[in-house]
Amino acid sequence: MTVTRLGSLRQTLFPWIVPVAAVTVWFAVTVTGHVPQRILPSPITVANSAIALTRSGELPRDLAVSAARAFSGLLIGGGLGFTLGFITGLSTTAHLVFDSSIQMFRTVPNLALLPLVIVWFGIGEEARIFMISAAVFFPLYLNTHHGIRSVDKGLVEMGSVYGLNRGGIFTQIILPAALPSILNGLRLALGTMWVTLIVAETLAAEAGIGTMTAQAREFMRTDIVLVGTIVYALLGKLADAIARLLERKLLPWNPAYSSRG
Amino acid sequence: MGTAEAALLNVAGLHKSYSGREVLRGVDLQLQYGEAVAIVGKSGCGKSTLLRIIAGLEKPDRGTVTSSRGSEGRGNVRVMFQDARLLPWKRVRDNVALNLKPVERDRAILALEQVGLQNRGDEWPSVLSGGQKQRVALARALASSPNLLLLDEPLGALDALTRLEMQQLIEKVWKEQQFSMLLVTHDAEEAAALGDRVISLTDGAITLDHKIELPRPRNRSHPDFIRAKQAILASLIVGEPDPGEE
Repeated sequence: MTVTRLGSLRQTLFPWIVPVAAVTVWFAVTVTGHVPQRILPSPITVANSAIALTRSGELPRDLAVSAARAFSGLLIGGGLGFTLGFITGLSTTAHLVFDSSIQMFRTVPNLALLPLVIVWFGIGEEARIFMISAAVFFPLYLNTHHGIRSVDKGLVEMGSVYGLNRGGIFTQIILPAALPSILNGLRLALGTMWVTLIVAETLAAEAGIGTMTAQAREFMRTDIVLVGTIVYALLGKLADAIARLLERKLLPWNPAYSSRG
Repeated sequence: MGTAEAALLNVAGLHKSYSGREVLRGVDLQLQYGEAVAIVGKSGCGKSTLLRIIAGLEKPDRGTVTSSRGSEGRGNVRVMFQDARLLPWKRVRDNVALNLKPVERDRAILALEQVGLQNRGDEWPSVLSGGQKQRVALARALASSPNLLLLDEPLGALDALTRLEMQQLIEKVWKEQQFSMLLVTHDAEEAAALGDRVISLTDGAITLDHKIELPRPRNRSHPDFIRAKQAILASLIVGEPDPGEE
């Protein structure tokens, strides 16, 4: 009993060691004046700026704009990647037609599309959503495709012997078998989603966390730059937590998710 | 032996080859209602292919599989594979209830009772042992009350003791539910223990069709049993592929 309680205490406490230590060091070097406030403001200054930005409504507005942007990109690009991954996973013809082309474009770095995107869409909202969509498309496409392709043929065969029709085989065998891979793709997509969002927002936008930080940099408001950076980190962590929660809720049968958090 | 019309399953002139290699060369086989037939043979003799064609998982190049129900020999056929093939994302009870209508779900519970796993219905398959998984697979086959059960070396991967238990269990449920069964195995003793008839398949053709009329459950140390086992083994050894053929 004690051993397991100690174990769970370890599980909840240990991940906090690094963040707490980092803030402590940050506090120590700034309060003692070793590092000038202009380069690295103290945690207290940053916290105050965060509170002030929240009170003025600036931070919530930017956050909402960023989140809406990120998720519309995820919906468009992710939905497309998911659908295409399914089609090419299920149909050999579709696989032959689409897969090699998609694999070719996959190797183009996402940010290399930037000049082309600016020519096509200018620097408007469409450009930013396009960038994010393109970024999340590939991880979801690849993992959905791979998940469907690697379904155990023996289980499909068993399903047909036991009289399942095509719909039954799809919903009861293929989809659940591919789900771990699809969720893994979603997690990867969330990761690239934030990276692309930051780049897209730093590139001339009217609102958003990226815009907030870019403007703050021009006025040498390092404290606001840090607020933006921390918000990005927290958003990334939140997205990851949601993906993990989905995995645990949707894959209770998988021994990999049943025990550890 | 009954006539073709009375038989549950009638296999005639089955031929099958894979990339030029003939796996089955003219196999004829009849299976009566409630009969247990064991098919023995060395690996690669075509016994699994025969079973897969009967199950409808593969198409023969020539020949027919018909059942008394007139269809393609698939009235209510269930298969037990060498691996249990349970769905890892369904609990044991839901695996057994696969493709059962909601009103038939209590049949899954009954089937789990038959195989002695009534307490494990809420578990995930991943926590079960290999023998337990095969029992769940057996329960899944029984839940839809098949009239023909095809067993493709389902006990091959189990340890000797578990295998013996499973053989007894299969015999018990076969007596209870009175389905016909076709058991593919490479184990002469298993064939002699479970088969009303043992068929030896060598190089894609039947080389022995041996009736075993011993009381069940069979006493494996009885001289008659040992003699039957010897006869099966002999047929496997005598039936070495003839190098002069082709």
